[in-house]
Amino acid sequence: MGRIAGVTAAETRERLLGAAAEIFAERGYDGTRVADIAAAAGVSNGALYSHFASKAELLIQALRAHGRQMLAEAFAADPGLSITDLLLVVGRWLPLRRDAREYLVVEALVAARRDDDVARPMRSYIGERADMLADLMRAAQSAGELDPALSPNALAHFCLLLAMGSALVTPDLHAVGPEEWAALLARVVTGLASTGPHDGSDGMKLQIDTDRCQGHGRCYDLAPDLFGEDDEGYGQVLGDGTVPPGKEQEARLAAANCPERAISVLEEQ
Amino acid sequence: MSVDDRFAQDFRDTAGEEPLGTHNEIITGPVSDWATDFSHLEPEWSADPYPIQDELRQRCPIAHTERFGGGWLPTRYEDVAAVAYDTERFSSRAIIMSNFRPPLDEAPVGGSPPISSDPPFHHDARKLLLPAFTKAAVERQEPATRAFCHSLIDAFGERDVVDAASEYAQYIPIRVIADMLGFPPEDGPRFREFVENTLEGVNHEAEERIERMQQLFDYLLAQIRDHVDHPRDDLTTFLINVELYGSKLEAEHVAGTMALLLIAGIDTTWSAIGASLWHLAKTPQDRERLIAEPALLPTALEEFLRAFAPVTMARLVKEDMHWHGVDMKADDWILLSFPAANRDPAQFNRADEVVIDRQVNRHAAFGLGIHRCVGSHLARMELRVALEVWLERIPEFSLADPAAVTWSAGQIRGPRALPLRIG
Repeated sequence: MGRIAGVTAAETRERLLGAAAEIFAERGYDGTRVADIAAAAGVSNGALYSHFASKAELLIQALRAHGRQMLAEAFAADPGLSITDLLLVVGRWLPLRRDAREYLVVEALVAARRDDDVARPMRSYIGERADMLADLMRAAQSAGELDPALSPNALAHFCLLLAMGSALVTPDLHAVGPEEWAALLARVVTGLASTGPHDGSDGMKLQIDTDRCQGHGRCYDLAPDLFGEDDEGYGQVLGDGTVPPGKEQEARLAAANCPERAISVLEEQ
Repeated sequence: MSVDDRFAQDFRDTAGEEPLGTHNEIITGPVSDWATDFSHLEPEWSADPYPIQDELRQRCPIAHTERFGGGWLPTRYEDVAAVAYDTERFSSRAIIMSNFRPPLDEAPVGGSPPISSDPPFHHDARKLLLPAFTKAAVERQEPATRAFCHSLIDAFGERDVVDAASEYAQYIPIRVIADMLGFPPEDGPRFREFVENTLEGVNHEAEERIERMQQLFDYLLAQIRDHVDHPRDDLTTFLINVELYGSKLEAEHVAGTMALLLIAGIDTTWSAIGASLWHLAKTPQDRERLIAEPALLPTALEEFLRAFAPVTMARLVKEDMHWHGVDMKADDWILLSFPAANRDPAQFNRADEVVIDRQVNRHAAFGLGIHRCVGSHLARMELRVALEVWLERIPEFSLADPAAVTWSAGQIRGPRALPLRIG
């Protein structure tokens, strides 16, 4: 029988994914039998197969459900961070030791090398992660945080390599001090910024492309000290568009939320 | 006050014969394959369109149907944005996908300017309306809206189960738009009929659609005549008097724009308020967080608009063309699904989740490009006030019966029955 009494299908699925993450991370893909996962979740093999077509699917879904989403965590911890600060926070976490389950991705990467059934869904999983990162890079570029001349795809690839590499090179294989690592990351981000070094405290300027602006008003909703509306509801920068110190984050938030991508944040030399 | 000649006679009598344009065979019934036979009017779609859209986005990503005389459904953000921006190749002369296509010579004005208008006329017709709908202008409606929301909750009395869609969400936009147009508030129930006929009655026979549309325009004409005789400080009097290109508006333009404001202002906001309350009723952690952090509401509200965008628009293809991998024919419909765009994982991280503190949220709930919803500031104000008052008065609530929740059919989607248990 597929169902445990009193447990919904969603709960069963959840249980299976939790057990799969645990066991795959501990024993590896080849060392894990589907029956072990079913047993650990307290369901029959048949019930397991009614949720997941194959061991490979179970692995990838477990990764989706239980792989560590560091960006989301960092964001939830402090939603006020700029995108580059968010990446820095995550970057600082990378060399730290983690929960065993977080090495699930290593098992998935290894299995993908050997087994075509894993390789295919793994490609789409990695593709999604890369797309998400590339979107973040694009947002950072339109908010003036990163040099728009850089390829968002290359930036995303770079972050992906760091993240995957950190799961492979664990602290017991090779360690790095938190300060030296943070200093290096800060330098890298500075190098990727739009206009060379900036301390974020001066020389930021806002512009609205009036051909693109359609009067959604997100800018003056989110940053009323920096933007206003004209008589027809179109956005306009207040004053000459210079961002007063302390308002940089507001400026970036407004730019990043414009549905028409009409706002540019210029960092002056 | 002399009678305004434009409205002395029913303008429809002078318009001549039967409206030209094309009617196609009406096809209803279960969808065989969403990729080749989609219909946004079937019950599966109204119940939960998101899994269908998600699947199509993976499979197609532009679905097709032979229904409605032929149409296309793009599901990726990128494609939806491309259609919205391309007014050269996609016309707005009809924006409700139905079994009737207005003739090409209706462009660039269309039946309900400016939503039905194409450039260059669109810009000028829209410009007339913008000042009345700025954020600053709609703020003037806020105190009355807030008081009205409180009065609706007062009317719940001591009951522990109320219908948040039909007893709360619905009335708010009806009252606000009636006030702005200067219509008697007691006519509210009739507005609901007009809205349902226009937006949900798409698959009714042509004669019935026309007959029902006549009732709407009869009502509007009566209101216009009353305003001609008794001018007031409201949008109806404004539209009667305003000039475009040096003369007052054609009667059809006045009535068409009033129809637009009435229809578009009600169902949409009603849906947004209802869907937000539905989410909060079934997601206690989000509800509790908003009670604890009221300052988060404006951010959460944008997320509700993204995840439950009520509005889907339509366009007509102007000429045969190969577009983004498919062969479109002149007069094919495009069902322009902002809800599908808003859930595209290529555009939004955790696209299928409701993340009430999402900071970067470039959603397309109010459209993209020149047809950005003219009432978006009004809708945001109504949604914010409706949720603020509800959460202040009724912090504890849940779905009384999840199976009893029903959703509207067609291009505007929101709860129409939403029984909530208070406390």
